[in-house]
Amino acid sequence: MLKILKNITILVFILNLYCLAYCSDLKVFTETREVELNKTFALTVEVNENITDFQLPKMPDFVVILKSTIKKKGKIIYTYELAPKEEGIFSIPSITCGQTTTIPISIRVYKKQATKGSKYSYKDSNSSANAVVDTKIVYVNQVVYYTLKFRTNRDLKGNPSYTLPIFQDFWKAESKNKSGYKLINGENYFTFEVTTPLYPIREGTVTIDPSKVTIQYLNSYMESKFETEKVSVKVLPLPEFGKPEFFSGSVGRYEIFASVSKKNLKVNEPLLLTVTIKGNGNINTISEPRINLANDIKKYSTTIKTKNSDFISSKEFQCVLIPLMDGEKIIPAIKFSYFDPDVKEYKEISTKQITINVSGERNNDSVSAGGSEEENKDLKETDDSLNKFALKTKLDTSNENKILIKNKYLIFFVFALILAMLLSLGYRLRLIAISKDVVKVQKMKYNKLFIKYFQQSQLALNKYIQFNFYYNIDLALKMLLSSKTNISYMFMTTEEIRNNLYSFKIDEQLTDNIIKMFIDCNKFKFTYFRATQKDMAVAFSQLKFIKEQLDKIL
Amino acid sequence: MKKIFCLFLLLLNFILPLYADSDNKDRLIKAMDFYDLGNYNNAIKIYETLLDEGIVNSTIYYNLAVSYLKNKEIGKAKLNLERVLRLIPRDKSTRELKNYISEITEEPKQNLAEKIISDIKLICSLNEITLIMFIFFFVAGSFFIVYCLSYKKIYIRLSIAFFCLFLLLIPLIYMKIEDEILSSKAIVMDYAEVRNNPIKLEAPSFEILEGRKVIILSELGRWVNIKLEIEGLSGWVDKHFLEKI
Repeated sequence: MLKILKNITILVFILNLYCLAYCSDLKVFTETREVELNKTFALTVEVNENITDFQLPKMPDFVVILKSTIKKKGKIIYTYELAPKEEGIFSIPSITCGQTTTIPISIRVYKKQATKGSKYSYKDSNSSANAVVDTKIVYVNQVVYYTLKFRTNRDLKGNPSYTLPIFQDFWKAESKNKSGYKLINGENYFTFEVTTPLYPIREGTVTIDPSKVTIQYLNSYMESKFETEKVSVKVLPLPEFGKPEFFSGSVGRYEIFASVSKKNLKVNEPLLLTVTIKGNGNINTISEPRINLANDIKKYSTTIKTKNSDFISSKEFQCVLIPLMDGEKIIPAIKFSYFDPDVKEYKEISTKQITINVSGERNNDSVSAGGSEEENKDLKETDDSLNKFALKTKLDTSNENKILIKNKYLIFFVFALILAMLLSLGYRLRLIAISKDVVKVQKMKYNKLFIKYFQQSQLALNKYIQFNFYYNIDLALKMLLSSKTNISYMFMTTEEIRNNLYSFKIDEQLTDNIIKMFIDCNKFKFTYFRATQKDMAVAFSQLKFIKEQLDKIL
Repeated sequence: MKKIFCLFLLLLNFILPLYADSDNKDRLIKAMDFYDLGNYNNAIKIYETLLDEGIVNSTIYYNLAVSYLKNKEIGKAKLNLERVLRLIPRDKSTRELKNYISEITEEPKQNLAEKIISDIKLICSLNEITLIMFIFFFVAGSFFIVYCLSYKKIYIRLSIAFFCLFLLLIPLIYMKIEDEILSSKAIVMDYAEVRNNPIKLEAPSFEILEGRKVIILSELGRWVNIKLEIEGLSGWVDKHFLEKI
């Protein structure tokens, strides 16, 4: 028994040593891939004990606190506490330590929503949500279609809103939505489907978290929430047997083509090489294939264009080649290998070899030299069309940047004009209101005439013209009385005026003064009764006094 | 003494701008010479220096656009051309150059409604439309004031007529303000990949060629949320691929 235990201990010890020898320098893992805002999560980094210069890269989206450092079995385990700063999807960048570089980790930060009385359910009597994958067993990087399905037989207020899981162990392509009506078991259902192509990035059993669907029924104030079940996919590793030397991990079925922009050219003349890879796998992970060019052809940087479509996607690698010497040059076949999951074996495909003819010295003035006649014609046309755009010869450098609409003087002027319009409108409205009161208008007219005669009398006083003075004083007094009583006194006798004034309850003394003034005016209107300038001044001040008194009474 | 000093300052005030203007003209001639000799880089350098000095001029922008185009820098050519179009939208050569660049950058054809709207926008510049509207408003207001003071019906009729003309121009000025002041637009300076989320790790959802005009929806750090005007596609792109008009 003791011997068996001893053997087991030795075996465990050897296994530990084996593990230590083959484990990597660096391991990074997080407590979770989804975290609520204002909460923290742990990031653990394991590095070999002999690595002393380990440093965590900068993570501007998180507040990072080193929680603990533990030395354990030849490793140093750093535990960090990370607090996200805002909502969104952020990544913990790749960490390099020694020879090892980790892959970046995506973290989804979400806000806790008020879920009072709105628990998630899988289905209710009218609606249901579920998630399916087209295949349960796939190879690493082989496409698997994840579909979120929702159906309801009730009318909805707007489209359903949905949240897909983070797909942490997959490379995710763009989702496609499909909605419509279907007859299921004799009932008309509104169906909604979201299909997402996924490419597993690690082997093993991978679980996809539930998707969430939120809807609101018509004539309902409550939101109904549905959650699908978790879906598991078994991911198989790619077989080691028959793996090509430069296999880059592509899984699916592919084709490769290559073409050049011209086959006849001169030394130092650029040539465009286009390599296209088409297929039904994850086109995004395909890297530029190796091109083994001879030393006398210089290759410049490559431009990559990706065209994603539902089933067949393509990636185009375009690079400029410049032959440095003349002669017949060969662009060798470009190889590309992939794993075909249908036949479960690796395949290697290649382009055809391309031969180009490079002749003599290049004429630097002519960009279009060398190619075929058709190419030359095309390039010449482009150049000609460009040549028709000549520079403008106007030597004007005045500043045209003044945006008039922001000019403060213009704004001020507009406001001033609006104010003037409002004032004149106010004036017009007041005139309209006044014109509706006939008595008031008549009184105003009399008042205007009073002012006119009063001024003329003052003028006559200054010039000492007796007739004019008394004539105007007489009229001014009549107009003054008319403006107060709205009665015309033009053709009344003094007695009639007196009686009239009594009817307006004007006191006797004032009435007497008024009548006396009328008598004086009649008397002195004629020149044979001479009045001194002093008499006239007294009469003028008397008129003023009468006006003041009448203003108080009427 | 004070008077002489003031006069001297006044004189300087007149002479210095004239001197600066003649210096600018010399530089413009130099840039044209460089262009004629095929030295587009030096021509561009001179035009850019003039613009850096705060001069905003349609001729300089146009010449810069042509120089960039000759230098095969489509993005920068388009950027300067868009700036010219804001200043002189009816200029024939500018419109021809715009069509030429649109062909190169493979911009999709607008549908009839979009084409009509863009043609309407190019009827006049924002300053021109502002001035026309101001004149209409001023005349309408003046007639209104005269009507209020004189109460003659002819003035109110004239005022209403001019006010209607003013109202007719409101949609046009709104489109221009929305286009040039409210919404932020940019030109793609290099071939760029657009992603669904502001994360570099995510696979690009589509690409845009150099010289395409995009609408900026929002910004998040070094990421910009953009939208293609004609196709309506939107996504996130790295800031350094874009330059605002």
